[in-house]
Amino acid sequence: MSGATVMIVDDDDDLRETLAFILERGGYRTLEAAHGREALDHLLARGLPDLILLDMNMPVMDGWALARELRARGLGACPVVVLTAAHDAQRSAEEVGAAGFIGKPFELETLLELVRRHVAGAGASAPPPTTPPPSP
Amino acid sequence: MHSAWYMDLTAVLDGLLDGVMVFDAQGKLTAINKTGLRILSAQCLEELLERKPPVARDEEGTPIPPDCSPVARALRGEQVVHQLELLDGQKGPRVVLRARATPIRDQAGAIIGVVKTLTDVTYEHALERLKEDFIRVAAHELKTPVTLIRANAEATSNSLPDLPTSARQLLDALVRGADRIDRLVSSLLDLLELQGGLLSLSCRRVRLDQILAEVVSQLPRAAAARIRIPESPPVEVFGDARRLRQVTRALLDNAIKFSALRTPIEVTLARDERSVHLKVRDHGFGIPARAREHIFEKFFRAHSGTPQDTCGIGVGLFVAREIVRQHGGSIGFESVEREGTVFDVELPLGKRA
Repeated sequence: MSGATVMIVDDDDDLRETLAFILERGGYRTLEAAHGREALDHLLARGLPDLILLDMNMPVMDGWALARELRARGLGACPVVVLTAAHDAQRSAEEVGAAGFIGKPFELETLLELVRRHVAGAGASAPPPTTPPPSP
Repeated sequence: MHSAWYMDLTAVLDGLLDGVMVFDAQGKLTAINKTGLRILSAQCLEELLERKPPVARDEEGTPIPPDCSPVARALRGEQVVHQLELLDGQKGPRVVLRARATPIRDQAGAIIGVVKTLTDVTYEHALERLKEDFIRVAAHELKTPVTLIRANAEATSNSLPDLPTSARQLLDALVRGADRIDRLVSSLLDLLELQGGLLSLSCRRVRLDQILAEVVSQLPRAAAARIRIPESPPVEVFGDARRLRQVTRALLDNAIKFSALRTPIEVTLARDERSVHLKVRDHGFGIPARAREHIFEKFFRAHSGTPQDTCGIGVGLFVAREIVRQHGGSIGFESVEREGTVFDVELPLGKRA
């Protein structure tokens, strides 16, 4: 689905930039956050993207904590795809109840296919939370 | 009065750096040397006073059941050569001990006791853990830069449709280089998982012929051109596709590395009623006779220090064998020096295959 928005949450600046380039060329809009807290602040203020691409090991707020916060604040409707070292990807995805996972390093086609599948599965853009969330 | 012989023996035992203990046929402690006393008194003085063997834990920290202790095993006639015991009594820090136990028999051969030795390996054990942690952290830290190299090479190639073929080949080589680092890093992580008993398979029905084709397609072109695969019907096994790709890749990499450029490498798939055989035959240097028994050991490199010495850290076959074993299969080889080597992986057909 073209025009969908993917949020990239990863503490590595170069990797975020690379992922944004790849996804934008694939027809997506992208948002970037360097850690879970930055992602959460953005989501609370602006609503949910169509998909969150989530690294696990990050400073300030890691992937596990962000996934917990999303659920606790009723933002669990947005599919999350875990993006982490291949050895841990599946386990981490299960731990946070993610919709999917992809291991680092990955093939571009595999990444784009996964994003395509989960964005389509989520249907139209998820609405922002109905009740205004408490300020963090 | 003790005899001179007894005094000599006591002096010898007390001079040892290992703890030595003697148990009777009921498993009661009857003698202990100075080192043994020093090790145990710091940890479990009370048990020692009651002459009861202390309750030790295994490497995972689970208490070792009384009938699995080295002394109990030796009383049943077993020769226990290596059992790790963790002792954390009320006093002193946890110690890690390597225990050996040997039955003592009378002239008729009946077991009348056990002699147990304890070596304090706390320091070595801690060092081993430190090494594992270091490898784990370093390997994980390499994943992101490798991803950057790979993804950017691929993205550059994809986003420049007019790129000359030669330049595209350079970018492809960059992708393969990144994949090679990734495989090295992954083998180190596999090694840690194997040592921790954590390597797990996620098995389903997989096509071995397709796995083979995929692996060959990922080889550098010059190497792929050397692979000969005769037509074969679809071959299915019940297995973990990612792990079987890894085994296939390890065998092909070895065949490519240890044979002359442009010599063919034959790969065959065959099945009988119970199993599937994947054979990889090269016409290369062969495995030196002295190296054959070590070929599956970790960090062993058969051609180390010879003109055939190539890159690698010596974990490919070790990991491959463990993966094959976990599939319930086996791996073997035949080799003739200066003629070549055949590796033969046997995998059971398994469920519903």
